[in-house]
Amino acid sequence: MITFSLIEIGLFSIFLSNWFLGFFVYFKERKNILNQIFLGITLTTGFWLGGLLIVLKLGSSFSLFGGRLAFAGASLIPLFFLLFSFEFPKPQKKSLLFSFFLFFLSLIGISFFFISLFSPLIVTSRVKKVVPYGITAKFGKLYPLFGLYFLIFISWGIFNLFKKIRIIKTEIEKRQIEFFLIGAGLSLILGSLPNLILPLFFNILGYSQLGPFAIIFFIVFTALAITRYHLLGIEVILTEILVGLIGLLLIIQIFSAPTVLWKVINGSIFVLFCIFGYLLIRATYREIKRREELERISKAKSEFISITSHQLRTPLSAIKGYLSMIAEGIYGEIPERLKKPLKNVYLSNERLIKLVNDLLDISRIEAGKMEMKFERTNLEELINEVISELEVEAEKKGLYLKFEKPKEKLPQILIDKEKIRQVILNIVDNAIKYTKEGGATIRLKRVKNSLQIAVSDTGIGMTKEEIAKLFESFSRGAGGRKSWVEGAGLGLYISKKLIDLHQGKIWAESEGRGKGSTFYIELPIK
Amino acid sequence: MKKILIVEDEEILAQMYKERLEKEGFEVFLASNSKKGLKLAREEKPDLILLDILLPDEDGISFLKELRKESSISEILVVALSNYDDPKSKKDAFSLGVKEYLIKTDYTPKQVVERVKKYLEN
Repeated sequence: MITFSLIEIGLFSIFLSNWFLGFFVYFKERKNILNQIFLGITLTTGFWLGGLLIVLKLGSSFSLFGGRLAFAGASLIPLFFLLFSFEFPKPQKKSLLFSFFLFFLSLIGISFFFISLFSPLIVTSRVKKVVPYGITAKFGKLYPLFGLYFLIFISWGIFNLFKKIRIIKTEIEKRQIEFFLIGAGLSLILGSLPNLILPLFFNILGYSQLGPFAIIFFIVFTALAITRYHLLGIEVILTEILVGLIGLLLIIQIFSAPTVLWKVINGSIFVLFCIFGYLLIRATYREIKRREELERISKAKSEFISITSHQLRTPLSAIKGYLSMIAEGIYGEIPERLKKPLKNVYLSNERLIKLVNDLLDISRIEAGKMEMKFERTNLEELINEVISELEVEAEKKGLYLKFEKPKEKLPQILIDKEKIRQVILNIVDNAIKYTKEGGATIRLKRVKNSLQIAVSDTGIGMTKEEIAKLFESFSRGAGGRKSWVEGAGLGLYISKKLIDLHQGKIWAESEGRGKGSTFYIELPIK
Repeated sequence: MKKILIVEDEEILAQMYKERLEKEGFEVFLASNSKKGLKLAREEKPDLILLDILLPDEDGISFLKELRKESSISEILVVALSNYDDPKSKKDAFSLGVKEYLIKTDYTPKQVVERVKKYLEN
C-alpha cells in the first residue's frame, strides 16, 4: 500500500486548491485578461507542484520527467507575473508596438518552458530525493540563464507594481495592489528560503519541497485582489483564513487518528466546526456589509448637502443684494412705512443664509472634512474682537455687554482662531438674543490645565430638559419629533462639534426659566 | 475711470454687481464664462477682476492659471467672489494670487464695492 507523508498530503492539497482557485477565478469573469493570466499562473504552478509530486511518488523511472516538468512549470511563473503587472489592476489599451513587445517577452518564457521540458539544457539528469524533504538534479548549460531570466522578470514585475501604487486614485485599487504585493512578497521570501538561500549559502538541499508551500500566499492573495473579494473588509478574509486553517488541522486529525472510533469523533467535531465556522463567517460578512452601507449613505448625504448649499446660495445672494440696494435708496427713496417690512424680509433672508452656512459646516464636520488651522492665539484679544462686533447689537436692545478680564496673565493657546471665534460669537449672540433686560457678562480665567470662558446672561433661562437637548442637531430628536430649543437652530450643535475638535468642553447651566443662563467653554492649554 | 471686469455666469448677480459698481463711477464689463473673460481682459486691461469660481466649461481656477501665464494681463488684481465654499478651491485661488475669496451671501453689493475700492487705492 502506498502511504503518504504529511508533506506529500500538503503538496497535493496545495496542488488541488491552486487549480481550483485558478478555475474559480477564471470562470467568474472569463473575458477579463487578468483572470485569464491568473488561470495561467495557477496552471503553471500546478505543473511545478505536479512535477515535484511525480519525483517524490513515482520512483526513479519517472524522476527525470518529473524534474523537467517542475522546471517547465516554474519557468512560466515569472512570465505570467510580469504580464500580470502590466495589466493590473485595470487592463490597459495597448499600442501595436507594445503588443509585439509583450509577445516577444512571452516567447522567451515559452522557450524556457519547452527547453526545460524536452531538452537536457536545464535539467540534465540524476533527479533524486534528498533527506528529509529535498530534491536535487544535475543542471545543464542554460541553467544560469534560466536563473537570470527568473530574476529579471520577477523584479521587473515588482517594479511595475510599485510604480502603479503612486498613480492610483481609488482606495479599492490601492488595496488590490497591496494585496498582490503582500502575497507575492510573502511567497518570494518564504519560498526563496528553502529553494535559494539554504542551498546557495548553506549548502542545505534537503528542504526544497517546502518551497511550494509558500506559493499558496501568492495564489490566495492574488485571487482576492482580482475578484475584489471584500478588499475593504479584511475581517471577513481573516475569519475565513482562520476557519480554513482550523478546518485543515481537523481533517488531518481525522486521517491521523489511530482507531475508527477516534476517526468518527474527530469527523463529528469537524462537521460541527464547519457549521459554526460558516455561521461565524456569515455574521462577520453581514456586519461589514452593514458598515459599508452606513458609510455610503453618510457620504451621499454630505455630498448632497454641499451641492444643495451652493445652489441655495445663488438666489439668496440675489435677494440679499437687491434688498440691500433698495434699502440704500439706489432705486429711489423708500416710503417710511415700507422700511420695517423690508428690514424683516432682509433679516429672514439673513437667517436662511445662516442656516445654509450651518448645514454646510455640519456636512463637513460629519464627513470629517473640516479643515483645522491651529495657531497660537491670545484668547483675551479674540473675546475683545467678538465684543466689538456685537456691541452695537446689544446697545440697540439697551443691554450691557461686560468683559471681566483675567487677573493673571494667561498663556496663548493653540486653537483654530476662526472656529473658536465662531463659537464665542454664537454663544454671546444667543445671550443677547434671549435677553430682554440686563445684559451679558463674559469671564475668562484659568481652570487647572484649561482656559475657561463663561458667558452669563440675565435672559429667559432654560429648563433641565431644554439644557439636555441644547447641543443636539435637530435631525436627532427623539422619535423623530422636533426637539430643538425654539430658534436656537444649529449653532450650538456646531459649536459643540468645533469644541470637540479642540478636545475641549462646552456646557450650559441655568437655574430655570426666567433665571438667566451661563454657557461655559473650556479649551485645553496646549 | 477705473475698469472692472466681472466674470460671472449668473446673469442676475452679474447685473446686480454691475449696477452697484457703475453707481460708484466704475466702467464695468461682463463675461459669462472663462473664455470670454480672458478675451475681455486682453482687450480692456481692467484694473480689477471679480471672479466667480464655479463657471460653465472651465472654472475660475483655470481662468486664473491662464491669466497668470500671459504677461500682458498677468498683473491684474483679482478678487474671487463665489458661493462655492470649497477649501481646495480657496487654497488654489490664493496660491494663484487672488486678493481675497469672498462668499457672495456674506457680503452686500455695497460691501463688495468697499473691498474693490480698498484694493484699487493701494
